[in-house]
Amino acid sequence: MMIDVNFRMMCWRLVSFVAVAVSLSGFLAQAEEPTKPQQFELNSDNLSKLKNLVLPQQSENAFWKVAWEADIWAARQKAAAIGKPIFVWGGSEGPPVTNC
Amino acid sequence: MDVMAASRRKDAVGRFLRESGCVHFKSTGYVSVVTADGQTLGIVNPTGHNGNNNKPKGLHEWLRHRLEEWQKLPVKRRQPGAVKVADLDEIDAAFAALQPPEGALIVRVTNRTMQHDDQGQPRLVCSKDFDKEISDIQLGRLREPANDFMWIPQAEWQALFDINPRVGQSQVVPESLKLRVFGHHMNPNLGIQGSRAYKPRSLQMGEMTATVEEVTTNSVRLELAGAGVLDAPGGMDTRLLYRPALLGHLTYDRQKRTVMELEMVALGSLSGRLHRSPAALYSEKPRLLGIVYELIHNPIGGERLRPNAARMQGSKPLGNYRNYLNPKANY
Repeated sequence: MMIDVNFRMMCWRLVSFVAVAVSLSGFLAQAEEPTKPQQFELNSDNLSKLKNLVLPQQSENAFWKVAWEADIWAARQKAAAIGKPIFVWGGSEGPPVTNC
Repeated sequence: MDVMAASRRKDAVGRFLRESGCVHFKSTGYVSVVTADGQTLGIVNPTGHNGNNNKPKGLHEWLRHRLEEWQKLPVKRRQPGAVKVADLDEIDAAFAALQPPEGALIVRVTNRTMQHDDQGQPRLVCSKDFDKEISDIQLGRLREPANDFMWIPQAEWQALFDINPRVGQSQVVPESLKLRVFGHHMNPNLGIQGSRAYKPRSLQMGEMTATVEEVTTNSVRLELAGAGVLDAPGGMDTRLLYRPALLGHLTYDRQKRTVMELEMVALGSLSGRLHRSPAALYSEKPRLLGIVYELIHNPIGGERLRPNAARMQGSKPLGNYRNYLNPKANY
């Protein structure tokens, strides 16, 4: 900490040397702040990579791995034909398409 | 199943649901097991039943008991073909109309909230992205992408293709398509939460271009690009701001006169809070929202469900459906 104060005092004494002061302040700012990350921009080269990041991974969105029937009547007909009961999901105005 | 809509049906479907009691009309999110001839073997709210945020074990156990009850039913009711379910001879006209329009493209829309890594690249969210401590279950749900569907009526996608296209030529994107893409399918309240709360004042939030990129005897490929700003009231008195850039392609089969491929990606900074838990757990700090749009070829069953913005509200089943297909800037 002391080294830092002394360094600042030294910088203050050099204030008349404008060019030097500007150069030092630039150097200090660079030393104190981490390198700013480059902003990600959507382009045709990274489109596919980004798409893969957004789309569900193997372990995600399990709901859509089931071939749901949206029509209860069609589900009744299928269930009757194969001799199985029906599992009904009564979502909020539809299926749980969101993660709310 | 869209319980709110189904509850109002004045046909055999509505009667089956009411008489069997396999859905709760006033409270959604329930699951049930019902036989084809209409006996409900059990109905439960999985969250309430497990008491711990959809912990799977409880629901599996509940289902096992329902299957045991099914096995106790007389064989003559369980055998394949033992129960006859005739085709519907009457369909409530108001609900029969709530289908994707003939010739419309059905597009799966996947929304994922992300964050920048130290190099500025998009990454999946982790627990340090939240203001308060969250459980692994909450993190899993917040990290997972959310689904919606987009419908593009035939007249709109056909308008994008010229009879004699030239490479570099710009096609006019129909205003209704721009309003739907930006207003309904870049709105995180709808895309992430399926909620129509916190509507933007206008759907006119972005610009989109379509440029002919490649022409062959058999196909025409367009590059779709755009950018917009969604500005809507957010949860907890915050301002919800999303600034997406959009890029993608649409390929048209000139022989079959159909769309072969549609793929778009949107990415932008999102700030402000959504209003429902657990998405409201995100801080107000900017994060990234990535959205992928993919054409579904030959959609079946659940893939034909209505887009979030087209679902019914209150007692007017058709209102949002019509507004969705014919969007106006100020609605």
